[in-house]
Amino acid sequence: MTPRLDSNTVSARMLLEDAIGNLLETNPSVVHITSDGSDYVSKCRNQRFDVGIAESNLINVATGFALKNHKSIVNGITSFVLYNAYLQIRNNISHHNLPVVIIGVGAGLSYGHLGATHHALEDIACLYALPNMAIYLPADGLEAAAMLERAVALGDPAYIRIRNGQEPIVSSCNEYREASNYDTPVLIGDSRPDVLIICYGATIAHSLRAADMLHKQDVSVGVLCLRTLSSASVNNVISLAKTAKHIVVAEEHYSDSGVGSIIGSRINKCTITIGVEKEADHIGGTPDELFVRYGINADGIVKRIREICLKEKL
Amino acid sequence: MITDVHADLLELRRKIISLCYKSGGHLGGSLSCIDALHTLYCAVMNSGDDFILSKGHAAPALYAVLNFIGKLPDDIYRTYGSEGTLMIQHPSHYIDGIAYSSGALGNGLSVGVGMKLSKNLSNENGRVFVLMGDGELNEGTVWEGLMYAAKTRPGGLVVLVDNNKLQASSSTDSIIPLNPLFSAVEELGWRVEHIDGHDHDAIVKASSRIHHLGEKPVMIVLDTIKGKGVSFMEGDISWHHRPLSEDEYEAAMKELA
Repeated sequence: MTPRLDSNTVSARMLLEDAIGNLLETNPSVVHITSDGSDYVSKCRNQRFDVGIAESNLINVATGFALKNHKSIVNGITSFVLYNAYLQIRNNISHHNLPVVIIGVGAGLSYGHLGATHHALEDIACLYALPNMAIYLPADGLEAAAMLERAVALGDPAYIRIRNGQEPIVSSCNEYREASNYDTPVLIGDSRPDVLIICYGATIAHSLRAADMLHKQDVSVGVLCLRTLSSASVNNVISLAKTAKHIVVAEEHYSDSGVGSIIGSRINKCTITIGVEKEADHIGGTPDELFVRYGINADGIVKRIREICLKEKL
Repeated sequence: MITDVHADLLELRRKIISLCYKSGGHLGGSLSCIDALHTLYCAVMNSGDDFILSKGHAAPALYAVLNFIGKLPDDIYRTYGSEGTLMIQHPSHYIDGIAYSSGALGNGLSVGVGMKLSKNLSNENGRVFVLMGDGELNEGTVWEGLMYAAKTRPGGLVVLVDNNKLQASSSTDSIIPLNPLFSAVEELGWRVEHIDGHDHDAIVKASSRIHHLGEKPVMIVLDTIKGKGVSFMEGDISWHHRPLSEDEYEAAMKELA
Protein backbone atom coordinates (compact mmCIF):
# COMPACT_ATOMS: atom_id res chain seq x y z
CA MET A 1 0.00 0.00 0.00
CA THR A 2 1.31 3.43 -0.92
CA PRO A 3 0.62 6.62 1.00
CA ARG A 4 -2.65 8.15 -0.20
CA LEU A 5 -2.75 11.41 1.63
CA ASP A 6 -2.43 14.74 -0.10
CA SER A 7 0.01 17.05 1.64
CA ASN A 8 -2.47 19.93 1.37
CA THR A 9 -5.19 20.57 3.89
CA VAL A 10 -8.62 22.14 3.49
CA SER A 11 -11.29 23.59 5.74
CA ALA A 12 -14.60 21.83 5.21
CA ARG A 13 -16.41 24.78 6.75
CA MET A 14 -14.96 27.24 4.26
CA LEU A 15 -15.46 24.94 1.27
CA LEU A 16 -19.06 24.42 2.30
CA GLU A 17 -19.58 28.14 2.61
CA ASP A 18 -18.45 28.50 -1.01
CA ALA A 19 -20.71 25.62 -2.02
CA ILE A 20 -23.68 27.19 -0.21
CA GLY A 21 -23.08 30.49 -1.99
CA ASN A 22 -23.04 28.75 -5.35
CA LEU A 23 -26.20 26.79 -4.56
CA LEU A 24 -28.05 29.94 -3.51
CA GLU A 25 -26.88 31.77 -6.62
CA THR A 26 -28.13 29.08 -8.98
CA ASN A 27 -31.26 28.10 -7.11
CA PRO A 28 -33.62 30.75 -5.69
CA SER A 29 -35.61 28.04 -3.90
CA VAL A 30 -32.72 27.35 -1.54
CA VAL A 31 -32.19 29.33 1.66
CA HIS A 32 -29.36 29.27 4.17
CA ILE A 33 -30.21 29.70 7.83
CA THR A 34 -27.60 29.93 10.51
CA SER A 35 -27.27 30.68 14.21
CA ASP A 36 -24.87 33.55 14.80
CA GLY A 37 -22.90 32.55 11.74
CA SER A 38 -23.41 35.27 9.18
CA ASP A 39 -20.09 37.03 9.64
CA TYR A 40 -18.50 35.43 6.61
CA VAL A 41 -21.53 35.66 4.35
CA SER A 42 -21.21 37.49 1.08
CA LYS A 43 -23.42 36.15 -1.74
CA CYS A 44 -27.21 36.17 -1.92
CA ARG A 45 -27.99 37.96 1.32
CA ASN A 46 -31.74 37.90 0.68
CA GLN A 47 -31.64 34.09 0.87
CA ARG A 48 -29.68 34.12 4.14
CA PHE A 49 -31.18 34.24 7.59
CA ASP A 50 -29.45 34.37 10.97
CA VAL A 51 -31.69 33.50 13.91
CA GLY A 52 -29.04 34.23 16.52
CA ILE A 53 -27.82 31.81 19.15
CA ALA A 54 -31.05 29.86 19.15
CA GLU A 55 -30.72 26.39 17.66
CA SER A 56 -34.30 25.28 18.29
CA ASN A 57 -35.50 28.38 16.50
CA LEU A 58 -32.98 27.63 13.74
CA ILE A 59 -34.59 24.28 13.02
CA ASN A 60 -38.12 25.64 13.46
CA VAL A 61 -37.54 28.50 11.03
CA ALA A 62 -35.97 26.05 8.55
CA THR A 63 -39.06 23.90 9.02
CA GLY A 64 -41.30 26.81 8.14
CA PHE A 65 -39.32 27.47 4.96
CA ALA A 66 -39.39 23.79 4.05
CA LEU A 67 -43.14 23.50 4.67
CA LYS A 68 -43.60 26.17 2.01
CA ASN A 69 -41.47 26.18 -1.12
CA HIS A 70 -37.89 26.37 0.04
CA LYS A 71 -35.13 23.87 0.60
CA SER A 72 -33.20 24.86 3.70
CA ILE A 73 -29.54 24.51 4.51
CA VAL A 74 -28.75 25.10 8.17
CA ASN A 75 -25.44 25.05 9.92
CA GLY A 76 -24.19 25.42 13.43
CA ILE A 77 -21.82 23.96 15.98
CA THR A 78 -22.67 20.26 15.95
CA SER A 79 -23.14 19.74 19.66
CA PHE A 80 -25.53 22.70 19.88
CA VAL A 81 -27.53 22.36 16.69
CA LEU A 82 -28.09 18.63 17.15
CA TYR A 83 -28.60 18.37 20.87
CA ASN A 84 -30.24 21.69 21.68
CA ALA A 85 -32.65 21.19 18.78
CA TYR A 86 -33.01 17.42 18.78
CA LEU A 87 -36.74 17.63 19.47
CA GLN A 88 -37.22 19.94 16.49
CA ILE A 89 -35.01 17.78 14.26
CA ARG A 90 -37.01 14.71 15.29
CA ASN A 91 -40.53 16.11 15.19
CA ASN A 92 -40.14 18.49 12.28
CA ILE A 93 -37.37 17.50 9.89
CA SER A 94 -37.42 13.75 10.35
CA HIS A 95 -41.11 13.03 10.95
CA HIS A 96 -42.30 15.52 8.32
CA ASN A 97 -39.59 14.30 5.92
CA LEU A 98 -38.60 17.85 5.00
CA PRO A 99 -35.90 19.12 2.63
CA VAL A 100 -33.55 20.44 5.30
CA VAL A 101 -29.81 19.78 5.23
CA ILE A 102 -28.13 20.18 8.61
CA ILE A 103 -24.42 20.88 8.49
CA GLY A 104 -22.90 20.13 11.86
CA VAL A 105 -19.54 21.86 12.30
CA GLY A 106 -17.33 20.29 14.96
CA ALA A 107 -17.65 16.54 14.66
CA GLY A 108 -16.04 14.44 17.34
CA LEU A 109 -13.12 16.01 19.15
CA SER A 110 -12.35 18.66 16.55
CA TYR A 111 -13.02 21.57 18.92
CA GLY A 112 -10.14 20.25 21.03
CA HIS A 113 -9.42 22.54 23.98
CA LEU A 114 -12.94 24.00 23.91
CA GLY A 115 -13.87 20.87 25.78
CA ALA A 116 -16.64 18.36 26.21
CA THR A 117 -19.49 20.87 25.74
CA HIS A 118 -18.22 21.45 22.21
CA HIS A 119 -17.30 17.89 21.34
CA ALA A 120 -19.81 15.77 19.45
CA LEU A 121 -19.22 12.11 20.15
CA GLU A 122 -22.81 10.87 20.01
CA ASP A 123 -24.15 12.52 16.84
CA ILE A 124 -24.38 9.29 14.86
CA ALA A 125 -26.19 7.52 17.71
CA CYS A 126 -28.72 10.35 17.83
CA LEU A 127 -29.34 10.77 14.12
CA TYR A 128 -29.20 7.13 13.00
CA ALA A 129 -32.17 6.59 15.31
CA LEU A 130 -34.36 8.92 13.25
CA PRO A 131 -36.54 7.98 10.28
CA ASN A 132 -35.82 9.54 6.87
CA MET A 133 -32.52 11.07 7.97
CA ALA A 134 -29.61 10.71 5.54
CA ILE A 135 -26.23 10.80 7.27
CA TYR A 136 -23.28 11.96 5.20
CA LEU A 137 -19.77 11.25 6.46
CA PRO A 138 -17.43 13.20 4.20
CA ALA A 139 -13.77 12.27 4.14
CA ASP A 140 -12.78 15.93 3.74
CA GLY A 141 -14.09 19.33 2.69
CA LEU A 142 -14.02 18.51 -1.00
CA GLU A 143 -16.31 15.55 -0.55
CA ALA A 144 -18.46 17.52 1.91
CA ALA A 145 -19.13 20.18 -0.73
CA ALA A 146 -20.11 17.56 -3.30
CA MET A 147 -22.32 15.83 -0.74
CA LEU A 148 -24.07 19.11 0.06
CA GLU A 149 -25.00 19.56 -3.60
CA ARG A 150 -26.27 16.00 -3.70
CA ALA A 151 -28.27 16.33 -0.48
CA VAL A 152 -29.91 19.57 -1.61
CA ALA A 153 -30.75 18.08 -5.00
CA LEU A 154 -32.37 15.02 -3.39
CA GLY A 155 -34.40 17.20 -1.02
CA ASP A 156 -34.44 14.72 1.84
CA PRO A 157 -33.65 15.36 5.49
CA ALA A 158 -29.89 15.14 5.77
CA TYR A 159 -27.03 15.63 8.18
CA ILE A 160 -23.52 16.36 6.96
CA ARG A 161 -20.85 15.66 9.56
CA ILE A 162 -17.81 17.91 9.27
CA ARG A 163 -14.99 18.83 11.58
CA ASN A 164 -13.80 22.26 12.55
CA GLY A 165 -10.40 23.31 11.26
CA GLN A 166 -8.00 22.28 8.51
CA GLU A 167 -8.07 18.64 7.45
CA PRO A 168 -5.97 16.52 5.08
CA ILE A 169 -7.39 15.83 1.63
CA VAL A 170 -8.36 12.18 1.30
CA SER A 171 -10.95 12.06 -1.45
CA SER A 172 -8.62 12.96 -4.31
CA CYS A 173 -7.24 9.42 -4.63
CA ASN A 174 -8.21 7.09 -7.48
CA GLU A 175 -10.37 4.85 -5.32
CA TYR A 176 -12.63 7.79 -4.46
CA ARG A 177 -12.75 8.99 -8.05
CA GLU A 178 -13.83 5.53 -9.18
CA ALA A 179 -16.47 5.08 -6.47
CA SER A 180 -19.96 4.62 -7.85
CA ASN A 181 -22.20 6.24 -5.28
CA TYR A 182 -22.19 7.53 -1.74
CA ASP A 183 -23.79 4.39 -0.33
CA THR A 184 -20.87 2.31 -1.57
CA PRO A 185 -17.95 2.60 0.82
CA VAL A 186 -14.57 3.21 -0.76
CA LEU A 187 -12.13 0.33 -0.33
CA ILE A 188 -8.47 1.27 -0.27
CA GLY A 189 -5.94 -1.55 -0.08
CA ASP A 190 -6.49 -5.28 0.06
CA SER A 191 -9.92 -6.68 -0.79
CA ARG A 192 -9.37 -9.97 1.08
CA PRO A 193 -7.39 -8.64 4.01
CA ASP A 194 -6.32 -10.03 7.34
CA VAL A 195 -7.71 -6.86 8.85
CA LEU A 196 -10.41 -4.62 7.46
CA ILE A 197 -10.48 -1.18 9.08
CA ILE A 198 -13.84 0.53 8.68
CA CYS A 199 -13.57 4.28 9.17
CA TYR A 200 -15.02 7.64 8.25
CA GLY A 201 -14.13 11.31 8.52
CA ALA A 202 -10.96 12.04 10.43
CA THR A 203 -10.16 8.41 11.17
CA ILE A 204 -9.70 7.72 7.45
CA ALA A 205 -6.32 9.46 7.34
CA HIS A 206 -5.23 7.71 10.53
CA SER A 207 -6.45 4.35 9.26
CA LEU A 208 -4.54 4.79 6.00
CA ARG A 209 -1.37 5.57 7.94
CA ALA A 210 -2.02 2.59 10.20
CA ALA A 211 -2.48 0.38 7.14
CA ASP A 212 0.86 1.53 5.74
CA MET A 213 2.54 0.71 9.04
CA LEU A 214 0.92 -2.73 9.22
CA HIS A 215 1.84 -3.46 5.60
CA LYS A 216 5.45 -2.95 6.52
CA GLN A 217 4.91 -5.65 9.14
CA ASP A 218 3.48 -7.96 6.45
CA VAL A 219 -0.09 -7.61 7.63
CA SER A 220 -2.65 -7.44 4.86
CA VAL A 221 -5.03 -4.53 5.46
CA GLY A 222 -8.03 -3.04 3.70
CA VAL A 223 -9.37 0.38 4.63
CA LEU A 224 -13.08 0.77 4.05
CA CYS A 225 -14.14 4.41 4.04
CA LEU A 226 -17.81 4.97 4.82
CA ARG A 227 -19.41 7.91 3.02
CA THR A 228 -22.96 7.61 4.29
CA LEU A 229 -24.61 5.73 7.07
CA SER A 230 -27.76 4.13 5.73
CA SER A 231 -29.29 0.69 5.45
CA ALA A 232 -27.77 0.47 1.97
CA SER A 233 -24.28 1.45 3.07
CA VAL A 234 -24.42 -0.89 6.07
CA ASN A 235 -25.45 -3.75 3.76
CA ASN A 236 -22.54 -2.90 1.48
CA VAL A 237 -20.13 -2.92 4.40
CA ILE A 238 -21.40 -6.32 5.52
CA SER A 239 -20.94 -7.66 2.02
CA LEU A 240 -17.42 -6.27 1.68
CA ALA A 241 -16.44 -7.43 5.16
CA LYS A 242 -17.19 -11.09 4.46
CA THR A 243 -13.73 -11.79 3.13
CA ALA A 244 -11.84 -10.15 5.97
CA LYS A 245 -10.44 -12.19 8.83
CA HIS A 246 -10.69 -9.38 11.38
CA ILE A 247 -12.96 -6.35 11.39
CA VAL A 248 -12.04 -3.16 13.16
CA VAL A 249 -14.05 0.04 13.25
CA ALA A 250 -12.03 3.18 13.96
CA GLU A 251 -14.25 6.13 14.74
CA GLU A 252 -14.21 9.57 16.30
CA HIS A 253 -17.35 8.79 18.30
CA TYR A 254 -18.25 7.10 21.54
CA SER A 255 -17.18 3.54 20.99
CA ASP A 256 -20.37 1.80 22.10
CA SER A 257 -22.98 3.77 20.18
CA GLY A 258 -21.55 4.62 16.78
CA VAL A 259 -20.80 2.83 13.53
CA GLY A 260 -19.02 0.02 15.37
CA SER A 261 -22.13 -0.94 17.29
CA ILE A 262 -24.36 -0.59 14.22
CA ILE A 263 -22.09 -2.76 12.07
CA GLY A 264 -21.30 -5.11 14.93
CA SER A 265 -24.97 -5.81 15.54
CA ARG A 266 -25.49 -6.77 11.89
CA ILE A 267 -22.40 -8.79 11.08
CA ASN A 268 -21.73 -12.39 11.92
CA LYS A 269 -18.20 -11.71 13.02
CA CYS A 270 -16.47 -10.18 16.00
CA THR A 271 -16.09 -6.46 15.43
CA ILE A 272 -13.58 -4.45 17.39
CA THR A 273 -14.40 -0.77 17.80
CA ILE A 274 -11.64 1.73 18.41
CA GLY A 275 -13.39 4.88 19.58
CA VAL A 276 -13.71 7.14 22.59
CA GLU A 277 -14.73 5.61 25.89
CA LYS A 278 -17.71 7.38 27.43
CA GLU A 279 -16.06 8.36 30.67
CA ALA A 280 -13.05 9.82 28.92
CA ASP A 281 -14.20 13.11 27.48
CA HIS A 282 -13.38 15.68 30.15
CA ILE A 283 -9.75 16.30 29.27
CA GLY A 284 -8.31 19.26 27.38
CA GLY A 285 -5.98 18.96 24.41
CA THR A 286 -5.64 19.68 20.73
CA PRO A 287 -7.63 17.37 18.49
CA ASP A 288 -4.42 15.58 17.53
CA GLU A 289 -3.41 15.18 21.17
CA LEU A 290 -6.85 13.83 22.04
CA PHE A 291 -6.63 11.35 19.17
CA VAL A 292 -3.38 10.08 20.69
CA ARG A 293 -4.87 9.98 24.20
CA TYR A 294 -7.88 7.97 23.07
CA GLY A 295 -5.89 5.74 20.76
CA ILE A 296 -7.73 6.63 17.56
CA ASN A 297 -4.61 7.94 15.83
CA ALA A 298 -2.55 5.76 13.49
CA ASP A 299 -0.23 4.47 16.24
CA GLY A 300 -3.17 3.71 18.51
CA ILE A 301 -5.02 1.84 15.76
CA VAL A 302 -1.93 -0.24 14.98
CA LYS A 303 -1.39 -0.99 18.67
CA ARG A 304 -4.99 -2.15 19.19
CA ILE A 305 -4.96 -4.24 16.03
CA ARG A 306 -1.75 -5.95 17.06
CA GLU A 307 -3.02 -6.54 20.59
CA ILE A 308 -6.49 -7.77 19.77
CA CYS A 309 -6.47 -9.16 16.25
CA LEU A 310 -2.93 -10.30 15.70
CA LYS A 311 -1.94 -11.86 18.98
CA GLU A 312 -0.06 -14.51 17.08
CA LYS A 313 2.20 -11.90 15.57
CA LEU A 314 3.20 -10.21 18.82
CA MET B 1 -70.21 33.99 5.70
CA ILE B 2 -71.52 32.53 8.89
CA THR B 3 -75.18 33.10 9.65
CA ASP B 4 -75.50 31.95 13.23
CA VAL B 5 -72.33 31.98 15.26
CA HIS B 6 -74.08 30.78 18.39
CA ALA B 7 -75.56 27.72 16.66
CA ASP B 8 -72.26 26.94 14.99
CA LEU B 9 -70.43 27.01 18.29
CA LEU B 10 -72.97 24.80 20.01
CA GLU B 11 -72.52 22.25 17.24
CA LEU B 12 -68.72 22.52 17.37
CA ARG B 13 -68.70 22.07 21.15
CA ARG B 14 -70.94 19.02 20.80
CA LYS B 15 -68.51 17.64 18.25
CA ILE B 16 -65.59 18.15 20.65
CA ILE B 17 -67.47 16.50 23.52
CA SER B 18 -68.38 13.56 21.27
CA LEU B 19 -64.81 13.06 20.06
CA CYS B 20 -63.41 13.14 23.59
CA TYR B 21 -66.18 10.93 24.97
CA LYS B 22 -65.42 8.39 22.29
CA SER B 23 -61.70 8.27 22.73
CA GLY B 24 -60.26 10.88 25.06
CA GLY B 25 -58.57 14.15 24.33
CA HIS B 26 -57.84 17.50 25.88
CA LEU B 27 -61.34 18.79 26.52
CA GLY B 28 -60.77 21.97 28.50
CA GLY B 29 -58.26 23.56 26.14
CA SER B 30 -60.28 22.53 23.09
CA LEU B 31 -63.41 24.20 24.44
CA SER B 32 -61.52 27.39 25.31
CA CYS B 33 -60.14 27.94 21.81
CA ILE B 34 -62.98 26.71 19.62
CA ASP B 35 -64.42 30.21 19.28
CA ALA B 36 -61.11 31.46 17.86
CA LEU B 37 -60.74 28.47 15.53
CA HIS B 38 -64.29 28.85 14.29
CA THR B 39 -63.79 32.55 13.65
CA LEU B 40 -60.48 32.04 11.85
CA TYR B 41 -61.75 29.24 9.61
CA CYS B 42 -65.21 30.68 8.94
CA ALA B 43 -64.68 34.42 8.88
CA VAL B 44 -61.02 35.39 8.63
CA MET B 45 -58.75 33.04 6.70
CA ASN B 46 -58.60 32.82 2.91
CA SER B 47 -57.19 30.11 0.67
CA GLY B 48 -53.71 31.64 0.61
CA ASP B 49 -53.41 31.75 4.38
CA ASP B 50 -51.69 29.13 6.53
CA PHE B 51 -52.58 27.98 10.01
CA ILE B 52 -50.59 26.25 12.75
CA LEU B 53 -52.21 24.93 15.89
CA SER B 54 -49.21 25.32 18.14
CA LYS B 55 -51.20 24.11 21.17
CA GLY B 56 -51.54 20.75 19.46
CA HIS B 57 -53.45 19.19 22.34
CA ALA B 58 -56.49 21.15 21.13
CA ALA B 59 -56.65 18.78 18.13
CA PRO B 60 -60.29 17.84 18.86
CA ALA B 61 -61.21 21.49 18.30
CA LEU B 62 -59.25 21.62 15.04
CA TYR B 63 -60.73 18.35 13.80
CA ALA B 64 -64.21 19.54 14.72
CA VAL B 65 -63.89 22.78 12.80
CA LEU B 66 -62.20 21.17 9.77
CA ASN B 67 -65.02 18.63 9.58
CA PHE B 68 -67.60 21.36 10.17
CA ILE B 69 -66.39 23.37 7.15
CA GLY B 70 -66.10 20.25 4.99
CA LYS B 71 -62.30 20.04 4.79
CA LEU B 72 -62.06 16.85 6.83
CA PRO B 73 -64.28 14.15 5.33
CA ASP B 74 -66.64 12.20 7.57
CA ASP B 75 -65.06 8.85 6.73
CA ILE B 76 -61.75 10.04 8.19
CA TYR B 77 -63.30 12.12 10.97
CA ARG B 78 -65.21 9.12 12.28
CA THR B 79 -62.00 7.14 12.76
CA TYR B 80 -60.90 9.27 15.76
CA GLY B 81 -59.80 6.88 18.46
CA SER B 82 -59.89 3.79 16.24
CA GLU B 83 -56.90 1.55 15.76
CA GLY B 84 -54.93 2.70 12.72
CA THR B 85 -56.45 6.18 12.60
CA LEU B 86 -54.60 9.23 11.35
CA MET B 87 -56.78 11.29 13.70
CA ILE B 88 -54.50 11.08 16.69
CA GLN B 89 -54.89 13.31 19.73
CA HIS B 90 -52.47 15.87 18.30
CA PRO B 91 -52.71 17.25 14.75
CA SER B 92 -51.04 15.19 12.06
CA HIS B 93 -49.72 16.47 8.75
CA TYR B 94 -50.89 13.19 7.23
CA ILE B 95 -54.37 14.74 7.25
CA ASP B 96 -55.17 17.09 4.38
CA GLY B 97 -55.49 20.66 5.57
CA ILE B 98 -53.01 20.27 8.43
CA ALA B 99 -49.58 21.61 7.52
CA TYR B 100 -47.69 20.89 10.70
CA SER B 101 -47.83 18.10 13.25
CA SER B 102 -47.77 19.84 16.60
CA GLY B 103 -47.95 18.43 20.09
CA ALA B 104 -44.56 19.36 21.48
CA LEU B 105 -45.36 22.81 22.83
CA GLY B 106 -43.43 25.96 22.01
CA ASN B 107 -42.62 25.39 18.37
CA GLY B 108 -45.51 26.68 16.27
CA LEU B 109 -44.55 30.32 16.54
CA SER B 110 -41.08 30.05 15.05
CA VAL B 111 -42.26 27.54 12.43
CA GLY B 112 -44.84 30.17 11.52
CA VAL B 113 -42.15 32.83 11.26
CA GLY B 114 -40.25 30.59 8.83
CA MET B 115 -43.39 29.98 6.78
CA LYS B 116 -44.10 33.69 6.52
CA LEU B 117 -40.52 34.55 5.59
CA SER B 118 -40.69 31.83 2.93
CA LYS B 119 -43.91 33.28 1.53
CA ASN B 120 -42.38 36.75 1.48
CA LEU B 121 -39.29 35.50 -0.36
CA SER B 122 -41.50 33.80 -2.96
CA ASN B 123 -43.68 36.92 -3.28
CA GLU B 124 -46.65 34.84 -2.17
CA ASN B 125 -49.60 36.57 -0.61
CA GLY B 126 -51.29 35.10 2.40
CA ARG B 127 -50.89 35.36 6.11
CA VAL B 128 -49.77 32.82 8.70
CA PHE B 129 -51.95 32.36 11.77
CA VAL B 130 -50.57 30.61 14.84
CA LEU B 131 -52.75 29.66 17.79
CA MET B 132 -50.82 29.08 21.00
CA GLY B 133 -51.71 28.18 24.55
CA ASP B 134 -50.87 30.45 27.47
CA GLY B 135 -48.96 27.75 29.33
CA GLU B 136 -46.96 27.27 26.15
CA LEU B 137 -45.27 30.60 26.82
CA ASN B 138 -43.25 28.78 29.51
CA GLU B 139 -41.24 27.23 26.68
CA GLY B 140 -37.93 28.92 25.89
CA THR B 141 -38.33 28.22 22.20
CA VAL B 142 -41.29 30.62 22.15
CA TRP B 143 -38.98 33.42 23.22
CA GLU B 144 -36.50 32.58 20.49
CA GLY B 145 -39.36 32.90 18.02
CA LEU B 146 -40.70 36.09 19.61
CA MET B 147 -37.30 37.76 19.36
CA TYR B 148 -36.76 36.62 15.79
CA ALA B 149 -40.19 37.80 14.64
CA ALA B 150 -39.60 41.16 16.33
CA LYS B 151 -36.35 41.44 14.43
CA THR B 152 -37.56 40.31 11.02
CA ARG B 153 -41.05 41.88 11.17
CA PRO B 154 -42.31 39.65 8.38
CA GLY B 155 -45.82 41.16 8.31
CA GLY B 156 -48.94 39.04 8.09
CA LEU B 157 -47.95 36.83 11.01
CA VAL B 158 -50.87 36.69 13.42
CA VAL B 159 -50.25 35.00 16.76
CA LEU B 160 -53.21 34.28 18.99
CA VAL B 161 -52.76 33.11 22.58
CA ASP B 162 -55.55 31.13 24.20
CA ASN B 163 -55.20 32.65 27.65
CA ASN B 164 -57.43 30.26 29.56
CA LYS B 165 -55.27 30.69 32.66
CA LEU B 166 -55.04 27.00 33.52
CA GLN B 167 -52.32 24.54 32.62
CA ALA B 168 -52.11 20.77 33.08
CA SER B 169 -51.46 20.76 36.81
CA SER B 170 -52.35 24.19 38.16
CA SER B 171 -53.16 27.77 37.32
CA THR B 172 -50.87 29.66 34.98
CA ASP B 173 -50.47 32.37 37.64
CA SER B 174 -49.19 29.88 40.19
CA ILE B 175 -46.73 28.22 37.79
CA ILE B 176 -45.24 31.05 35.70
CA PRO B 177 -47.27 34.26 35.96
CA LEU B 178 -47.94 35.66 32.51
CA ASN B 179 -48.76 39.28 33.12
CA PRO B 180 -45.17 40.47 33.24
CA LEU B 181 -44.46 38.18 30.32
CA PHE B 182 -47.03 39.83 28.08
CA SER B 183 -45.42 43.19 28.93
CA ALA B 184 -42.08 41.68 28.05
CA VAL B 185 -43.43 40.64 24.66
CA GLU B 186 -44.35 44.28 24.05
CA GLU B 187 -40.90 45.36 25.16
CA LEU B 188 -39.40 42.97 22.62
CA GLY B 189 -41.13 44.89 19.86
CA TRP B 190 -44.56 43.30 19.50
CA ARG B 191 -47.94 44.96 19.57
CA VAL B 192 -49.95 43.03 22.17
CA GLU B 193 -53.71 43.27 22.05
CA HIS B 194 -56.05 41.78 24.68
CA ILE B 195 -59.57 40.80 23.64
CA ASP B 196 -62.43 38.58 24.79
CA GLY B 197 -61.55 35.23 23.27
CA HIS B 198 -65.19 34.17 23.13
CA ASP B 199 -66.32 37.29 21.25
CA HIS B 200 -66.58 36.46 17.57
CA ASP B 201 -66.68 40.08 16.39
CA ALA B 202 -63.68 41.04 18.49
CA ILE B 203 -61.66 38.12 17.11
CA VAL B 204 -62.64 39.03 13.54
CA LYS B 205 -61.67 42.64 14.07
CA ALA B 206 -58.31 41.92 15.73
CA SER B 207 -57.18 39.11 13.46
CA SER B 208 -58.32 40.63 10.17
CA ARG B 209 -56.28 43.79 10.48
CA ILE B 210 -53.77 44.01 7.66
CA HIS B 211 -50.22 43.69 8.94
CA HIS B 212 -47.70 45.12 6.52
CA LEU B 213 -44.12 43.99 6.12
CA GLY B 214 -41.95 45.96 8.51
CA GLU B 215 -44.72 46.58 11.04
CA LYS B 216 -44.48 45.25 14.56
CA PRO B 217 -45.76 41.67 14.74
CA VAL B 218 -49.07 41.36 16.57
CA MET B 219 -49.99 39.02 19.40
CA ILE B 220 -53.67 38.78 20.19
CA VAL B 221 -54.20 37.57 23.74
CA LEU B 222 -57.58 35.85 23.93
CA ASP B 223 -59.15 36.07 27.36
CA THR B 224 -60.84 32.68 27.56
CA ILE B 225 -62.34 30.19 30.00
CA LYS B 226 -61.03 26.65 30.03
CA GLY B 227 -63.92 24.25 29.44
CA LYS B 228 -66.08 27.11 28.10
CA GLY B 229 -69.66 26.18 27.29
CA VAL B 230 -70.20 23.33 29.74
CA SER B 231 -71.01 24.66 33.19
CA PHE B 232 -69.40 21.89 35.20
CA MET B 233 -66.21 22.04 33.14
CA GLU B 234 -65.66 25.80 33.10
CA GLY B 235 -62.60 26.76 35.11
CA ASP B 236 -62.20 23.23 36.48
CA ILE B 237 -58.64 22.08 35.88
CA SER B 238 -59.59 18.41 36.13
CA TRP B 239 -61.06 18.70 32.63
CA HIS B 240 -57.66 19.38 31.10
CA HIS B 241 -57.53 15.76 29.94
CA ARG B 242 -60.10 13.64 31.69
CA PRO B 243 -62.45 10.97 30.34
CA LEU B 244 -66.19 11.65 30.39
CA SER B 245 -68.56 9.27 32.11
CA GLU B 246 -71.81 8.49 30.33
CA ASP B 247 -73.72 10.75 32.73
CA GLU B 248 -71.24 13.60 32.21
CA TYR B 249 -71.42 13.15 28.47
CA GLU B 250 -75.20 13.33 28.48
CA ALA B 251 -75.23 16.33 30.82
CA ALA B 252 -72.73 18.19 28.61
CA MET B 253 -74.64 17.40 25.42
CA LYS B 254 -77.87 18.56 27.05
CA GLU B 255 -76.31 21.91 27.94
CA LEU B 256 -75.09 22.29 24.37
CA ALA B 257 -78.33 21.25 22.70
